[in-house]
Amino acid sequence: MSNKQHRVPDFYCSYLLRSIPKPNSFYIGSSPDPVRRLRQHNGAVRRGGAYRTKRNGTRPWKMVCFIYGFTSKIAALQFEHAWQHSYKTRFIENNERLVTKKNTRNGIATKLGNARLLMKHPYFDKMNLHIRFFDRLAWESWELNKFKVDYGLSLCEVDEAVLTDESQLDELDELNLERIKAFYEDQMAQESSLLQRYQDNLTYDQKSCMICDKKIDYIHDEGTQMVGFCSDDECDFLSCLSCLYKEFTKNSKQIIPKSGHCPNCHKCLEWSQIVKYSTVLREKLIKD
Amino acid sequence: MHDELEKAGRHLLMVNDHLSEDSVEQGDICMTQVPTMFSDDEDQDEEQETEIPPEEGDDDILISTQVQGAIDELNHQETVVHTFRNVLSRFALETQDQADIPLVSSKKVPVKKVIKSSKVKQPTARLQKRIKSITQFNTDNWESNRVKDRAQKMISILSGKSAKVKKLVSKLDSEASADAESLQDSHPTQFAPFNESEWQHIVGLLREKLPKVSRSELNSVQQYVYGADEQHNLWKASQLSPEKQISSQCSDGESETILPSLTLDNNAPVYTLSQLVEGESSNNRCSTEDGLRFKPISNPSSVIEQELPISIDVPSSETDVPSQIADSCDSGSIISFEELSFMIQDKNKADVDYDIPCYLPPDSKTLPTGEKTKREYSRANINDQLINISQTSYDVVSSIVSPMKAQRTGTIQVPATRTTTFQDQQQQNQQQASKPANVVKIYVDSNRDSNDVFASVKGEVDTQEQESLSTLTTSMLHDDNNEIVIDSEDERGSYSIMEVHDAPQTHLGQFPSLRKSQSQKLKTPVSATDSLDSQLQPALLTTQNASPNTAKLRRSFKVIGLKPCKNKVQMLQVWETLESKFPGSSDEDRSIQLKQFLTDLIVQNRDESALLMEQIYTFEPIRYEQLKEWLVSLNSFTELIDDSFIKNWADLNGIVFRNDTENPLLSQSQSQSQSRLLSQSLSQLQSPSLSP
Repeated sequence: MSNKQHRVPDFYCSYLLRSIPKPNSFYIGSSPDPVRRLRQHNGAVRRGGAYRTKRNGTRPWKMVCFIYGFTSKIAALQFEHAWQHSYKTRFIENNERLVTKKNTRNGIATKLGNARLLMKHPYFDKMNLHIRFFDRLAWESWELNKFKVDYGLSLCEVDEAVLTDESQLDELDELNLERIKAFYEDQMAQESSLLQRYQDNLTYDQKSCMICDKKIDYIHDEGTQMVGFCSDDECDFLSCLSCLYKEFTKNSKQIIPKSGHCPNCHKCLEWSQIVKYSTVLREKLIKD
Repeated sequence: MHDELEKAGRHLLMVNDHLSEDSVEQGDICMTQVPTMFSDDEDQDEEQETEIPPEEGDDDILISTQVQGAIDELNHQETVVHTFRNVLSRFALETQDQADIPLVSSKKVPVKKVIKSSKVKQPTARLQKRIKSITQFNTDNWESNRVKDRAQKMISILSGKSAKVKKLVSKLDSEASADAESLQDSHPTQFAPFNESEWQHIVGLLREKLPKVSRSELNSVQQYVYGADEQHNLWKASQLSPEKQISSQCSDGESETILPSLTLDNNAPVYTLSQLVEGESSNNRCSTEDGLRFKPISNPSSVIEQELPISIDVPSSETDVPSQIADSCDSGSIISFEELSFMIQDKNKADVDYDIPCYLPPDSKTLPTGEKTKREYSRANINDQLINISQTSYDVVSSIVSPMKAQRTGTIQVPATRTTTFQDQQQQNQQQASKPANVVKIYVDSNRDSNDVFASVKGEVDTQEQESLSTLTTSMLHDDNNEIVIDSEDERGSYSIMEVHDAPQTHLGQFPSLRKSQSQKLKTPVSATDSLDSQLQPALLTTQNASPNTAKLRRSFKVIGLKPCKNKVQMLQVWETLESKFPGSSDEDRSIQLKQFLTDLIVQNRDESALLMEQIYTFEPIRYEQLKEWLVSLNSFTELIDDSFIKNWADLNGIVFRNDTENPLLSQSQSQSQSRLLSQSLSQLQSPSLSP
């Protein structure tokens, strides 16, 4: 067990690149900073490995979508590896496998179908992953669900404004990068504001666990205590993470809950988001 | 200088002396080595080539002279032998003049012999074994074949029956080795020599082969063949026919003239050859026609002193006293009691207790049964088997193993095949041990059906011993207290004994108990204190019949998610436990149940390890071994679950693993502890419950 405390990354995504000059060329990768990574792929940043996307005639690349919300870098890399090796990954059942051979040239539908299958898997389903599309054709293919993968679309986030259009070929790569950058910065800003709120809530007021009524000494605690919050802006629910875990798994036989209702406001809360903020707060506490 | 001159002069004198001695010895050698009849120029030349050079030293000269002297002696002996052989060879062939002998032999033999002697070598084996002709072979080996072999060969060649002659001569040799000279003539009964016609054929051949031989030559031949010792004259012994000799009716004139005068000893009871050949038939004829004729027992007490288990009771209808018929001209056997005593002595040497078989009449219950001496019953009835006293080396029994005779030791029993079988003590003991305890013998008329008898007898005996009669066997009559005479007919020979054996109920009773004990043993529940092997073995025995084969088990284990076991015993044990804990219709169901078992195990033990649970529900990547250890600590059954199954289950529950690259030593120690835990879990499988 490493001494470094675990922290859910603020943002980690697994993305799908598509070559603009060669639309049948795809690339699957993962990164905590998709903007920087996309620039690397397109050669804007010298540093960083982008060997596969260096091939002649494939640049520039556009990031058609990415899946984010991974609770750890390992999980994101697992998803990336599984997505790249969808023909043999253990996260796709054999009877649902869309690709069975290694060197099969798949289209965007197969890529998205495999992504849907992977997100459907309980391992990633617990993480409440989200998918964000930055390409219209990819989004339409997702919506089409060619392989009829039974998985809900509720987590599919798409903004019509950020969808690039084929008519804007000359500026496609730059537009794609801008819209990805916008989304990424927005996400980071939201995360930051939430964390700031939780931290203020703990710092400037003495709180007790609303479940076990145990005092939470955020100032003097050395990171042993983890706190869970309600993500709703109006709800000030706070409790021990363990208490909230027990609350979420009280009537179920799940080891890790996917979601639960806030004991206070009964809002549906994603467990992975609660854990994320709790781990980030713990890390900030140790740093401070 | 003067001294040296004197010394040199002395040496010269010594040398001269030696030279003079050598010259004399050489002359002697020439004289001895070359006799007059071997005087050949070539031999002399070769001998001169082998001369010892005078330049050798004094010691060498002395040694060579000694060696040469020895060689001379050997050569002299060889020449004498060869001379005698040549004489013998001529004697064996045609009568020739003795003057020709040296001329014949001097051409062949001496040349080689002189050469050999010069080389001081013994004749090789190849040369010795070389047989140029039968005559040469016989002459070379005349000494060894002098007495017996030549006689044997002569008779065997003439008669054409070498086996008979060999048997005859070997028997004579064995007798000669034994010192009983008086008994020599009394037991030619052990072999079957020639009959009269065969001897006539032999005589005819002799006449053909030796037509020109004069009596003196024949005597010399006889002297040569049989030697001076005429006591062991095979010819005489074979020709001793008392009847013919005494009656002088059918004597052959030619044979009388050819053969030396044979003095027949009337007191020496011997068989004629024809009688011996006819053997048993003549004996039977004698016994049937004239009855048994015995010489008077000269010393009966000696027989008793020898504790011979033999006494002959002759029925009153027969001759009361054994009589001697000394000069019987009949063709029947003359069986002397001396012969019998000899036979008894001879057989006692072999530590064999010869019993004359006892025949008891059906009404022998009237006889006193208390005496332990055996009672003999001799019957003159033709239908019965008579005791052939000359062949009393066996007991006539109906079966090899007679329960009533089993107390005897070393008895030779002869079944119907007359094949002599020797029954030793060990076999008898074994047979006695296997013999039923209670044997009831019933004298039954052989005309009656044994089933009827058995039914009637069973009705009687059942009152005493219920469920005891199971087998019926028939045998010859024997004396026993448990005899029940069903039908005491006077007609002899038409009865048989029905032996009613008590059924060995103990055996029947033992088998179920044995089976029961075995089954109980198998069904004995395995205690937790037993070792792992002792636990596994009964489990295997009880479940092996109904268990699937190894391949099926492996497949099921793989489908369910259990670790593959090393042997079938462990697999069966795990399978038993799995079946008891996860009663599912299929392997897939059991796999689902096993996953649920792991989930429940953690859910119900959330508070056991809060730190690990926190890592799990905060999506912190943990080491797989960490989780496995915890699972095993919660329930040892999880040690039997395959790792891939646990990882798959962890994936389904969102547990994130990481590769432990930071502390490889820890992982090694954990893998060791994992293997240790496997054995522990196997041993604990029987007792702990799988409820988490």
